[in-house]
Amino acid sequence: MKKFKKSIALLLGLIMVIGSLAACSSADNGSKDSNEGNKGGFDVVTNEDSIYPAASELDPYSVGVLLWGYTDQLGGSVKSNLEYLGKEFNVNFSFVEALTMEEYISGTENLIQRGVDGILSLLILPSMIEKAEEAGVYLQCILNESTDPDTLKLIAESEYVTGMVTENDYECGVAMVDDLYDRGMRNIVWIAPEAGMAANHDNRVRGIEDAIEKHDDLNVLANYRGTEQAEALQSFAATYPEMDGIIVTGGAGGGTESIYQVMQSEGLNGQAVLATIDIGEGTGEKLESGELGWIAGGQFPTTGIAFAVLYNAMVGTPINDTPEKTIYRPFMVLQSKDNYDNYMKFVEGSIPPYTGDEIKALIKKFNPEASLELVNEYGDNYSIDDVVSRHKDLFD
Amino acid sequence: MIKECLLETKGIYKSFGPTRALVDVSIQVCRGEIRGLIGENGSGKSTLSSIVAGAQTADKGEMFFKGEQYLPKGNVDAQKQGISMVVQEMGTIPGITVASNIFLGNLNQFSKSGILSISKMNKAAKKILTEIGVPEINPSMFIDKLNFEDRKIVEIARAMYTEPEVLIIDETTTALAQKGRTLLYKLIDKMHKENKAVLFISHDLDELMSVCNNITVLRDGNLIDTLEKEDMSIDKMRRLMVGRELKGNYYRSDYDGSYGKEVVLDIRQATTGVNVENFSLQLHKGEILGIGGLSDCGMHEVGRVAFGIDKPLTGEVKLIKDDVLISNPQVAIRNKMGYVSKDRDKEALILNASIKDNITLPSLPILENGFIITNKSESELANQGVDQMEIKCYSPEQRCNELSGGNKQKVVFAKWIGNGSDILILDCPTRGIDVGVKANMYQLMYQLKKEGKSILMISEELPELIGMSDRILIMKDGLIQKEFARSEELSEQDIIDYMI
Amino acid sequence: MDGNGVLAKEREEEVMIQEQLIAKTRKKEKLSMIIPFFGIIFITVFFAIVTKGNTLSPSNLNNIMNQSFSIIIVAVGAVFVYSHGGMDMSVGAVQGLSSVVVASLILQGAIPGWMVLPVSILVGTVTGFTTGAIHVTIGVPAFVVSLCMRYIATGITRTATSAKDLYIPYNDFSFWNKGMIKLVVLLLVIGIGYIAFKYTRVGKYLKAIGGNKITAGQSGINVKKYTVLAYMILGSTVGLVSFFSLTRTGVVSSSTGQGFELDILTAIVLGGFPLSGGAKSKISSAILGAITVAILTNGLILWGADPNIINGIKGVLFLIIVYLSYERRKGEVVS
Repeated sequence: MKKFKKSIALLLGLIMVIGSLAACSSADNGSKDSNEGNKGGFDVVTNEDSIYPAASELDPYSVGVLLWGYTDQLGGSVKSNLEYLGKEFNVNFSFVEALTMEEYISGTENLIQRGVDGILSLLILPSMIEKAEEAGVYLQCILNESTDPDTLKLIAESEYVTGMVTENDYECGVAMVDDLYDRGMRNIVWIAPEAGMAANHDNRVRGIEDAIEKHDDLNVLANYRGTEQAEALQSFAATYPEMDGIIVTGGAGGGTESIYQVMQSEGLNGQAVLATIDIGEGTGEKLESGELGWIAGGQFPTTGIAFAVLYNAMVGTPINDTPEKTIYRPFMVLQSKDNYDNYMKFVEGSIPPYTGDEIKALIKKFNPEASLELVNEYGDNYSIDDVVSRHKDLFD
Repeated sequence: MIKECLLETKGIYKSFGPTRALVDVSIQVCRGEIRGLIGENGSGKSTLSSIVAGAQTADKGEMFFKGEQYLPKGNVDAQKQGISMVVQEMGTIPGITVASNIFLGNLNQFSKSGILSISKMNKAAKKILTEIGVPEINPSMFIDKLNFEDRKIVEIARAMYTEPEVLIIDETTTALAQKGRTLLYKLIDKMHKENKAVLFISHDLDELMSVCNNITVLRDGNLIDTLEKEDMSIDKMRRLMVGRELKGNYYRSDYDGSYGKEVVLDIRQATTGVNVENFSLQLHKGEILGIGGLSDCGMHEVGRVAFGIDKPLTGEVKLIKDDVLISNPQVAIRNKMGYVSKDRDKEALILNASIKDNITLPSLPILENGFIITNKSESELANQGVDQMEIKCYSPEQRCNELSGGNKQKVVFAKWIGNGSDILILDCPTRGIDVGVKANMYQLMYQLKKEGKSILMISEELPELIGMSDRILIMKDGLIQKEFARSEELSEQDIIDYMI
Repeated sequence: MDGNGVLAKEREEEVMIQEQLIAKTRKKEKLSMIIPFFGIIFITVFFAIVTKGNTLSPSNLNNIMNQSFSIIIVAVGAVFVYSHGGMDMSVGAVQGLSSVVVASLILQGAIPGWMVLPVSILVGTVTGFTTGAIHVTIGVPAFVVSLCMRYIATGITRTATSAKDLYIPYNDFSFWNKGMIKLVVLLLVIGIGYIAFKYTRVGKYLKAIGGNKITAGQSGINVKKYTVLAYMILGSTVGLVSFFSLTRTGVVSSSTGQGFELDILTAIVLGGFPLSGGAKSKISSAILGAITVAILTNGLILWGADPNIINGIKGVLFLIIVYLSYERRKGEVVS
């Protein structure tokens, strides 16, 4: 019996060692060569004529990332995109999961202890700023922004907070309503997670509500905030046969998949059009069938832009002297199957929407023209057509 | 008849942690022999039988069966080789049929290319059940539908279907009523006639005397003696089991029956939801007051009411001296009362806690110094209890579930004596403990009486009521039927009439 | 039997064997006292090696202290609940609730600064009392009551933070976020908890209740009173922690405290604390478990393990820790 137990322990030890080796190799080298969608990672485009320095000529840096996770669609794409940039910039990324505020602070402490030069984080809290300053580590907010006046003041005063780059959720909410209105829908419902669950969803709702105000002849039949979104839609369908437009603020709470299912089972096809956020499985089909009229997504490249802002600070050529002002970027909007096919090829395909060279163009050290204005210009142009026109040569 | 040796053990040793369960035990059982195995709890008789039956392995020693070395790999292997055992505790598995229980672990014989033939199995089960004399048990029935006794009989069937040459019966008869006993005795007789052997373990000495050819006595893991039929006597067996002379004054020897005038505990017109109606009694200083009756006569409930565990719906329980009403056990304990529950393992002890923890539990408020209770003060109290009650253990830190029944009961007593209780309510204080410990308990009770403490002893055993009480109250259906004063002439027969 | 000399010799031998057996058991018991430390020693050494000593640097020890502060303190409180066989699923939600109450009071300027900590503890204690009192008076399992309490507390927290997260003026409370202060508080809580659990009626009674409720009642313990007290003690530690957590994060959101009860449960189990309670409950198990969890999280990040396989590695390390630390004692009973 004792022998048996010993051998089990040995086996476990072995598994752990193998596991750890795998962990190190994937974290350090990231030697992935598959190109099945974003989760398999992006290919490095070796551009012989590049006017920018190659990764091998650059000083190595280490950057920590704090995000809710890296296994969902968005988190996975963020990770792949950053790993791709890591190869282009000779930067080693450490990805850490954090859900609660405490975990963001602990994560910051641990990353600093690990010796990172900069941190990309979903949340920026006062004590994180404090710790970053003590350690001389740069801190950049991604996919989110702080709105607390005290925190913003700390950010403004800090030498080490480099900025906040995120999607404009409010504008996205407005756009969803406007699109359905322009299509001629007058009887709509909207569905979102509980208030207070996620700031970005709350912002979208604010946009939705404000846009609804604008249109006098737009009828809001009902709305629901919570996790039982499919069930809510089911009862709306039963109660309001005149319903012709549905807005869902995004994948939380069972995903868009269950919404599609309800639309199918309740026979809403052809009657009501859906506008939603977070491109995922079934998006192409539904755009083709017309059930889905408008969908926003493509957020992950934002983290590449945020990285550029951070990298500028790390190499001593900061471009953002107003870090307390959020750099907003639009969502990418898809409205047809054609859009979707292009999205799969040019955004989630083997080459990310911004190549290494395109990001390097935002680094003042490499490109004297680089500035906050250029960053904003990238954002203003961001759309599916923009990516296609920039990258179609790469795919020949 | 030539005595051919069927089973032999040579120098068997076994220990569990610091407890030596068997020390150099060698026995020989011949064909046609019905061998009794006796000893107090913890003497090693169950350990010995389970080693023979393959359920445990010896630390040292050899066994021979039918002249060849015998090394069972487990229960099932032993049974295949011809040694079966019916165990003390419930050994059937709920949720499956009678037949499946009988052939548990041996289902292969009824399966063909992996498919179990239920009908074949049921037929075989029916055959064995009929053979042992219970054709009325249906093999396809779920075991849960059977009563306790019939389930035990199914276990016997399981032991018998392989036609064993040695059958081990471990205290099975305690679970059996007349029907089962007759069945078992018949079986034993059959084994005897077929020139096979039986190892029979029982607490019931009378039963052993009538059934067995020889009786082996074990004490503290040592083989003491094997008695031939003509040497057997209850007294002798008892003496060998306990290891010392149990004198005539097993109970107290005086027939004085006097006690103090002062009433200490007064139960007035107490009525509970169950079994007790308008019940009154008065317990005096220095009195042993016995309450007897059938198990459901309400006497156990009286004990609970007296200690405040159950609240009477009407009436009251009062301590006269301080004029206190007993409304819950906390009040009772604060006023120096103690209670020994009849269900030792479920109510009186914390089994997985140490002897020390158990002994000190009611006394913690006394041991407190400010808020702090030091280890030292606890150990002192525990050691005192262990010494006074002669609890057999290697340290007061030993867990109670490692102790024998008698030792556990000593711990329970130590709890209340350590607490300095003046009034003790003892519900079946000697249930399931051996004669040796019983004698200790009786001596202790008598000593407490002489110290002026009062004891309310509730018991289902008439001899101890007659032997120990100053007064006996006999209850039936929640009411007192009769009161007896202590007397030498009092016999069980006098009392029984009032109980039924 | 032969002559007296042989008999005496045999006796002597018997006594010797018995003494050997007792000595063996004592040794085993002593070993079982240090076994719980094996797991923590293993991961400490393991991470020290793979991070080349980084995990043991003074600054990281400070990190570990900061990161295990909450979980250790609440684990100490939880010992009182788990030792009597209870369970509290509302820990995280109550942390959120008491943070919300305190943050709102601060933001409205309703209480002076020195009152913040006592109020925070009070909120935790009162919710603990409510959970315990409902549990014992209507006899609903503590698991269920605390689950309801969790929904109620979460609901309040969500409502209060629905408009926006509550930020407190961070600098006003940064005094409490100092390492030294926290260390003192930590040691104080451990010390008080240790004494209360090991050397006072409270701990001994709760262990007895966990061992056997009926016996405890019949031995003069007011089972209901002490059960409620256990939930109050746990609640008070949750209240204490929510104050310190608030000074650390500076903000309350709907995610505050989320999943904290599971961290506590993990710590308790990892430390080898029996979930059924009873005599084997030791406060050191809970503390060891809590530190182990913190070292594990910290070490894995410093090591740089990929987040997607961190959980797998965590699982394997948990298994090893449990394997090394659990006292595997066979419950053999002599009959």
